[in-house]
Parts: sequence; C-alpha cells; structure tokens
Amino acid sequence: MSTPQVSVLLPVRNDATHLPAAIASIQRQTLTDWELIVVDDGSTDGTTQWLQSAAEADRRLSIITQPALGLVPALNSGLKACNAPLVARMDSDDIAHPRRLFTQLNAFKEQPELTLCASAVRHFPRPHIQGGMLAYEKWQNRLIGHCDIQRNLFVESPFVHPSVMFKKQAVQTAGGYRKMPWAEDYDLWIRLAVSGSIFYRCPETLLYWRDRPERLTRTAENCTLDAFRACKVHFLSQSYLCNCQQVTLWGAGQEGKLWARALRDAGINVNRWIEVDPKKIGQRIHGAPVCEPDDLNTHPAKTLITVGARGARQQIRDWADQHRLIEGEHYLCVT
Amino acid sequence: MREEYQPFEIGNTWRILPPDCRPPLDHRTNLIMDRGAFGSGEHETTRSCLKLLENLKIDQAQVLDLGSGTGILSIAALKQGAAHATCVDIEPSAVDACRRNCRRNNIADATVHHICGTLDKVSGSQFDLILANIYGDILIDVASNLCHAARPGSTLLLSGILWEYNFDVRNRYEQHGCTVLKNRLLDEFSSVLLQKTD
Repeated sequence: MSTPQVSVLLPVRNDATHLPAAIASIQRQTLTDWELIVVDDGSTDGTTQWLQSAAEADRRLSIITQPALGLVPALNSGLKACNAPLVARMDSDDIAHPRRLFTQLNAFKEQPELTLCASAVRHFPRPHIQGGMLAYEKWQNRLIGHCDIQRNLFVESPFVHPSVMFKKQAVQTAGGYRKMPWAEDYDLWIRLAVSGSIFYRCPETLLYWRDRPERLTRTAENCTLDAFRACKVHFLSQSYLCNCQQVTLWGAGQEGKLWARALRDAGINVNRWIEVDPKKIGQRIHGAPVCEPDDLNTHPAKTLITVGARGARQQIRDWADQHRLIEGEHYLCVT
Repeated sequence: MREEYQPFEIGNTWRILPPDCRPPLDHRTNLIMDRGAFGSGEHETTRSCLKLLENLKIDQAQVLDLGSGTGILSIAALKQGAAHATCVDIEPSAVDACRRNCRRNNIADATVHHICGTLDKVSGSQFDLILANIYGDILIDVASNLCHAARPGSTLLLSGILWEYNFDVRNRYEQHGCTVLKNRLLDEFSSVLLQKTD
C-alpha cells in the first residue's frame, strides 16, 4: 500500500453519538488520498463496535484499540502509527469542511517551510455559544500569518487542536505530546514555537467545532485559567523571562495579582506595576510601586501585559508603538 | 425604497425578475420578486431549492412552506402545478412580503394560506410537499412535527443547512421515517431532498 498524502489522527473515548458524523466528514473530503488513524481509548459505549464495522467498509480507516490510558498516550500512539508526513488532527465530535484536507495540504505545497497550518473554525450549535467562546473564535480566526500568531502565542492558545495539520517529523522532534498540568495542545504549540517552527492559518473556515457541556475544554482540570497561566509562566521563565528575577506587570487588577503569585512561585518577583487607574497610581501593591505608563519610557524593563479587558490589549499595543517600545523585547502580552 | 436588481435565471426553468420588468417571451417561468431581506433567489440555498424543485412532479400537491420568507419557493411550486400552499413565517414583515409577492405573481388569494407564527399553528398530516429553507438547528428541532405534517410518500425539501448540521439533519429525518433522495452540498450550506416512506 502506498503512503497516503495525509494521515488524520482522531482519538476517541465513548462518543458513539457524534463519531459517525465526524468520520463521514472525513470520508467526503475532496482529497481522497488519506488514512484515518482512530485511537479508541477504552470506549465502553458501542464506539468500538461501530468503528470495527466502519473500518471493514473503508480500508482507509485503521483502529488502534487501547485501554483507557488518556488523551496524551492516545495521541502519541496514534501519531506513531501515522504513515503520512503530514498529520491532520480531528476530534470525534467535530465536522471537517469537505475541502479541509485539500486546502491545508495545498498550503504546505505553496509554503514548504510551514511546520503547522491551522484553519479558521466555527462553533456549533450556534444558538448556545457564549460571548467568551465567540470572542475566542473571532480572535484566533484573525491570526493568519506567522508573525501575528507568534506575537499572540502567550495571549491564548492560537490554534484549535482539531483544526491543525502539521509535519509529523517536527512534532516528534519536539517531543510529541506531553502530559502536563496544562493543556497538551498549548504545550505543544509553544514547544514548536521555541524550536523555530513556522505557523500559518488558512483563513477559510475548515473545521466546525462542536460545543457541548461535557466538552474537555470546559471540564478538564488542565484547561482552567490557572492551568493556562501556569503553562505560560513555565515557558516564559525559559524564554522571554529567562534569567530574570524581576518583572514589571501592566495591570494591577485581579488577573495581574494572580500573575504576580504565579511568577513568584517561579522565582520571579514583580518590582513595578503599571496602571492607568489614578486611584492606584502611587500606591504599593505587594511591596512594589504602582506607576503610570510613562514610567516605562524613563525606566524601560521587561513588562508583561496582563490587562484582560476587551480592547485594552490593542490600546496598549498602540500606545507602545507610539513610544517606540518593541513587543517581544520591551513587553509581551500574556492575557 | 427597495433596491432594484437585474433579472437572473436559475436552473432550466426559472427567471427571477423585479416588478415592472418586462420578461422576454420564452420557455422560462417568471418569478416576480421584490428584493427583500428574506430571499429573492440570490442566496445559494434558495437557488439550490429551486433547482431541486424544477425536477419534482408536484401536480395538485398540497405544499407546506416553513420559513417562507418572500414566498419564492411556494410561488414557484404553485406555478409548477401545486394546488395550494401554506406559508409559515415567524416574521410579520416576511408574511407581508410573501402576500405581496403572491399578488405580483397572480396567485389567487384562496390558493395560499399565510400563517404568521411557528409550525405549531399548522394542523393535519396532509402535505405532499414540504419546503423548509431554514437553519439546520431549527430543522433538527422541528423534525418530529414536520414529519408528522407530511403524508406517507410525500417529499421534503430541506435547505439552509450549514455544513456542520448536514449529517445530523439527515440522521434525524431518517429516524423519523424519511429516506434521503439527494444531498446537495453547496459552498457553505446544503440542501437535502427526502421522501417520507412510512
């Protein structure tokens, strides 16, 4: 059997309700030269039986059955079994646009330097989607080019996991998936970025992302805000804040204070707060002075922007541009 | 003031044209439509419905049009030989537009029953053709009632289904005794033609 152009990697546990629709969306791709590696992670609800009959009907499906070991082992064993140089991730409850594989493969052909190509996504069912998820969808869908993605890497996870296609070799070289106290996909994106990967997003909506109450993003302990913050601090202390024992935080609100605590646990202290609230300017918080933004001009130092209010990040970036402060050097947006 | 538009053709049968526009004399069936917010034929789902409709045998059919909007699908069905249409739309302004377009197309008042509301206001199981050009999640929600309104052997033409809902819509209607005859996948939306088999 010849090597397919794309391997689709789909881990599943107990999702007989949605899996047929997800797999049907792969089977009706305009690109037909693919293999689908499904890792059945200890299903007990009929998923296993359904997969067996689906694999008998379509030889492009390969099923790896394992006891319930968890998502990360499932992803790694599936990744190992992928035969194609390009791997498209897929989840059991999502729907791929019929041109998804073709479009992403084409992006790799046109830009051979790419390591990972995501796509725009759209949540469904639409009527139940909350404002925060819609804002996230809109935010990440706008990050198209590598530079934009890279400079927003610490703001939020810039990719929806089942929307990505990546070079298998690059992910394996980066260490594959790791079980950490934070989300395994965000952990991978940052490691790929650190290793010099080139990112891109197809602006077309190629993945429909199903929202439901039991979705992992909502329920898993490694997907909480605390877990994401811990992940960011972990990687920042090895990159932007490497060898730093002190940092300036812009934003002395609740989020800023949570950041101060997480940084302190990593051995990095806040030596200055930047605030625009006149009531806070001049005070001391956790022993560090609260200063107005102009203080950054006279005393520049590595600064993390922790202001989460909608629109504030762009305002701060505009202000920093006017004052010739360089993102990634003088400051970094982390919320 | 309503925006004017140029006449255009859909499939082998239809020509959409604005009021006061003189159509050429040819084999095409003219659908005279105000341009409005509820679809005068430009949208891919409406186009798809009209293309599927032109191949259906619907002489003397009783039609239910759920989410009728401007009424374009009912008007087309009536011009193709259907006997009567029940047009249902939740928007009062859509019902007004539908009524106005029916008059423009010389559809007799007695031939169309306009309902402003939801499917709950429709009684009976007598419909030979069901047209529903509405969102996929709504089609899933109303599947039971819509299938109840369809007589055995009737045709259901469902459209306005975003890609992500296509599988779930087909699945749900199959669970309610329908068989998929055609599944048309468009750029962003899809249309499904079904037959109620029991």
